[in-house]
Amino acid sequence: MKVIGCSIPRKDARDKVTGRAKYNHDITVGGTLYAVPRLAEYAHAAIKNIRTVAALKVEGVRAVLTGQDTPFLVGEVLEDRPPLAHGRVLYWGEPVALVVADSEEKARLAASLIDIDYEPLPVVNSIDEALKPNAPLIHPDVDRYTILNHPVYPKSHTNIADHVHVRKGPTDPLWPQCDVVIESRSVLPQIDHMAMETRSATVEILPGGRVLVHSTTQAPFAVQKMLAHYFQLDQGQVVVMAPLVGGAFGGKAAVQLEILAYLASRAVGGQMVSVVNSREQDFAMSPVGTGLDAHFRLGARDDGKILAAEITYRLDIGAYTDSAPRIARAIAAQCTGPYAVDNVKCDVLCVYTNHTYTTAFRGFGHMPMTFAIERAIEKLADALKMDSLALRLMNAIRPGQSSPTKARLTASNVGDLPKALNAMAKLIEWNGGKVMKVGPHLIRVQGIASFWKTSSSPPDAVSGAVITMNKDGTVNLSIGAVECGPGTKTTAAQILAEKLQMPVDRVFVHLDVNTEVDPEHWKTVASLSTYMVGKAVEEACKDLIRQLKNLAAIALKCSPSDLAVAGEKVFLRDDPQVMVRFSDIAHGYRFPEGDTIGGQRIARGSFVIRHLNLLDEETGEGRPGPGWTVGVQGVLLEVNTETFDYRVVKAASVIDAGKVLNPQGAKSVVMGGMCQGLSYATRESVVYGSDGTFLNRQMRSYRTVRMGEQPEQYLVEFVETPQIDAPFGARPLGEHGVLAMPAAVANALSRALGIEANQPPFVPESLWALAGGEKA
Amino acid sequence: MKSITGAYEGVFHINGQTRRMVVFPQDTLLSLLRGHAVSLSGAKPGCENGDCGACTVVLDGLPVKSCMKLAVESEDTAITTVEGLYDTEVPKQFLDKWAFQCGYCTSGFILVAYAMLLNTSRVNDAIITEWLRSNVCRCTGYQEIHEAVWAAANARGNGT
Amino acid sequence: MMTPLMAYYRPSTVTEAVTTFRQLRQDGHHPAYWSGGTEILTRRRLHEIYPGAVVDIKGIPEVGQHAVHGRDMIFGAGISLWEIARADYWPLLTATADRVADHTSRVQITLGGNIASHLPYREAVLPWMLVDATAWVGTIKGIQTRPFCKLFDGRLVLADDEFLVALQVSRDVASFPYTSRKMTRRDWVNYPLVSISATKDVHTIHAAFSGYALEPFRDDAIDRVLSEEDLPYAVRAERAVAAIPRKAISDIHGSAAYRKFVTQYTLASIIEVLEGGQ
Repeated sequence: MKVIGCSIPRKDARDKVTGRAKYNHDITVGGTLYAVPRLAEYAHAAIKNIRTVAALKVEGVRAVLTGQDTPFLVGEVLEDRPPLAHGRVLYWGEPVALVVADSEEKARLAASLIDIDYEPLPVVNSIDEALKPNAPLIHPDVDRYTILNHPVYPKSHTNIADHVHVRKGPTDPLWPQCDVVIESRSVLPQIDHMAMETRSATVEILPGGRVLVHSTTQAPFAVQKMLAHYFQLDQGQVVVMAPLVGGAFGGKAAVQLEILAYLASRAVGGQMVSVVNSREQDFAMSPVGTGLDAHFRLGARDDGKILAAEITYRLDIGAYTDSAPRIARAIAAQCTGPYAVDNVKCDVLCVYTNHTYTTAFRGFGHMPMTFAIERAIEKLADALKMDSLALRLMNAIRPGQSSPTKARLTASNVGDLPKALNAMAKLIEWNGGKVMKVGPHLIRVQGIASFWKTSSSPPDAVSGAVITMNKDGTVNLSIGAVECGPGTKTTAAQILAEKLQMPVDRVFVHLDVNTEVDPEHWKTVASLSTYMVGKAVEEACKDLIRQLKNLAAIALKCSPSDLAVAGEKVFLRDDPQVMVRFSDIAHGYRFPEGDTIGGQRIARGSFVIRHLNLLDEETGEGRPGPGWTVGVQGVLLEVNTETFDYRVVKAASVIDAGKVLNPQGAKSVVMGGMCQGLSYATRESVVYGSDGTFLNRQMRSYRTVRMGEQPEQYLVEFVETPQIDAPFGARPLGEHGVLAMPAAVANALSRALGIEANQPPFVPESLWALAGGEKA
Repeated sequence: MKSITGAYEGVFHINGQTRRMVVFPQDTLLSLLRGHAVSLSGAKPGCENGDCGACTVVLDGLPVKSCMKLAVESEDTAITTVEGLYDTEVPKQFLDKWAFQCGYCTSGFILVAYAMLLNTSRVNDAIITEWLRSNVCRCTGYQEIHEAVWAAANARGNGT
Repeated sequence: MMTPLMAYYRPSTVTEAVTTFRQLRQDGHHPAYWSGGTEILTRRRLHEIYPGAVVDIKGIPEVGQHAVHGRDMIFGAGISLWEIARADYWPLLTATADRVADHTSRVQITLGGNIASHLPYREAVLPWMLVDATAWVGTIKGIQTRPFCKLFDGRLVLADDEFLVALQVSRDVASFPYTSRKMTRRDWVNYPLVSISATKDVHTIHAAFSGYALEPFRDDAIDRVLSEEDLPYAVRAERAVAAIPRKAISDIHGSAAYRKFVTQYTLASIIEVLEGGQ
């Protein structure tokens, strides 16, 4: 029986292709009320007056809430965000009031009738503006906020919400020994997750004290803890149900609508209330992905060995911190990219602006970070007149070295980047990035970029698995990871089936998550589910096998150690015909005489990552994750040098997967990530007007790749260097397809046009402007 | 003259069944389909602005974004939703080719592909692209969807 | 306050439509004529407009006509852009209409709805700006015909209670050399930076533009420059852009300067196609 390494069809497949799979807002209960927020139409303004009279007059309106009704602050790390704006609005689209009504249409109408007087305040519309000496302070009280989860270091009287330091190597820097020093700056915009399903939450507060929450969340257990914390409830009172999620990409790890829905329900005596984001709300009101302004100084010997790096990452986190301090630490821990650098000075700043606040985004800061690193590496290669792949190979991180935060690297935890680089050279037929002329005004050029990433999860993140057996010998698996798209539930079933040597179609996974019955899984983020859930499932399988053997040993009158488990049977190792079937012992073993022993087989597994720690405040020293995934991505572009239009002919990825558990599943997730990464590179950005208005808050203005705009050819290969402590050696893969695609595109475009393409997205207009624009 | 100024009982033909249902004149076809009376939630709201295609259904053989169509306009038309394509070629190929991940956009893509095959005797890459770029997918690389549509076309004899 | 209903009326004659519209207007219902409906629904959802009633004109036979009659082609305002492309009576109209929005949306967007749009683009109007066409207008007195050039001045010029019923043009226009180009920021499906429809009769190139300015336009001076056969394509394109009497817009799709750049190379290629015979 072989399940691992096979392209097992997904457990949710048939329901999804027949339209029968249920997402959060697919099941509605008659009588549910709707809450609709009224959004700020200023990026920064004082709220002078809110008149709700007209809204309350709309038939069917049950309540109208404003910031005065919600006088507390929330936050995942730093409590700096009011659920509804207090006194001032800090970003365009911030919820200012909340209308609860019998129907969504009535609530929307009433919300539009709320009359708000604002006094506009100066708008901080960029990182540079935020860091000017006399910049308006977005949070004058930043040093007085409560810290819910250390660490975060806000700087009083500035717009700096957090500052992370990495200091590695001699205090006397190695710059004098460098033959070549380059500087490079990259600027990346905020981007949107744009999951196809907008975020939504429904809350009902029962008279008995239970709070029922239905949410599109990736983090049901975080929702549970947040609601319990902010509304003084026992965690057990809060039951969060997360069905299949229609795409998440980090955007559904933030807790926002659940709090609004709770407040709305509380305002109407606990009745069931839904908050369903319109697409416009989902763009502007709910958190987006961070922007980045990065400055690099890299020094190297003339043979290419990188000696020193001085790096500043400034993040446009928008108006509130949410998970930005964690993202900043993730960037800090991987700040050099997958290259060995002995002398590192890196500062990561979370900068408040009057932009939509930000949260986790596929790659947790590593996509913009990788962009900045790989543009600097490319510039260094140019300065050294070296092949950029050779430069990457020479400096590639290897076992025996240490990470920027001095975590020790082994073959198990860091994988094999040199092997991936060599595989990429073959896969894409690397020609050194030479420009190839293929027609009048048409050229083709390659670009590559490497990445690495670890989980940057909290050191106390847990995961669990519970297996129950049905009478017929089939098994049910319950885990706390949400199915957002990558096939997490199927992977867990595969691991179980392999461990029990039973058919995977006899394994039934609970596809939804309910915090009341499913064991906790920290959050379905950081590509960690396979590792953490997998470890818990392995533990649960050990437990189940032990239980099965113990019972079978009685039935077969032998010692448990004489027995083996496979094919839904427990049998003697030396004589497999002496056996009992799972169905004979699933619910206890019944002797021929009728009396029965044992009972239902119920097994459990529990896991917590070991040996992680928080980064040191001054040096950043610490171990940020259990292992790294390294990889290389490349593109072949065809560029029209007259019109600056271009297309992606080939897109390639080579990733050290440790072990590929489900080949088709792995390839799909990586290809999808590549497409998303290319979409960011070629067209996506949140666009703010000069007054901070979120301009492109619809899918007709926030453009993403569509059919026909994907690469002509995807090339996906895996290297397999096992991560010894991971289930079957598998490394995380879920986010990684996006990580280096924008950098690869920028590297190719820069060579093609002789420009420094350092500011995505790269639409023809931006290339035209870089090539001289009007003046050319 | 058909005039509907309030609650109205209309006759709808959905997936081969005729149903009488009460609608209001401003109700969209999407809200009719997803409402309690029918509960065909395969049509998904993604933008309710005609931009994403997740709510696409087929009316009289042509794809329509159901968020942009009034329910009362859909009387006397044959409405096909993804639930009506159960066990047919297009969903089967989407399953085989792993042409979905989160699954939220999937029914829209399936219905556009289905309508394309109804209206096109011989498909080619350009036709597939033109019909399917009406929809947005955020998880896949689109290649899987493209392959699934080709496979369905070949299986139905609309291929080359 | 009650949630506003949007009452629905589906008349079967022009007179009935206009009478209904007038009555609704008089009763304070802020009615709108309804064809494909996509724009009314999107704007209503965002509370930009509050139509209390819509008058669906698609049940009127003249609005749904789509045929070649004798020497003329007639396109009802209620014909979908998809249907126009499928029937393909007029290749230039096909080429232009077939680039509006996306394929599924074109099943629903109608010729009349696109031309009457409040958005600046109205691309389906471009071919009509290049020919002598006749418009059928629904009025209280029934259908009236007017020269299309008198009816369209950047936008449809109609009385509040009038609506476009159909457009009629000689079959001859279908044989003119033509080309149509829609240029976008990046994506195939998007609003245009500039969309240009062009034809050539004997020695003169006629071009109409959308997306470049706040309204679709054409101009004799541009056509004259484009038609100066002894000048190279690129020079004519450059001069044509200089001759555009409208201010190029700057928005999230592109800057004014970039619009000019794109318009210029697109015009050069259009001239080449029209004069080089593909």
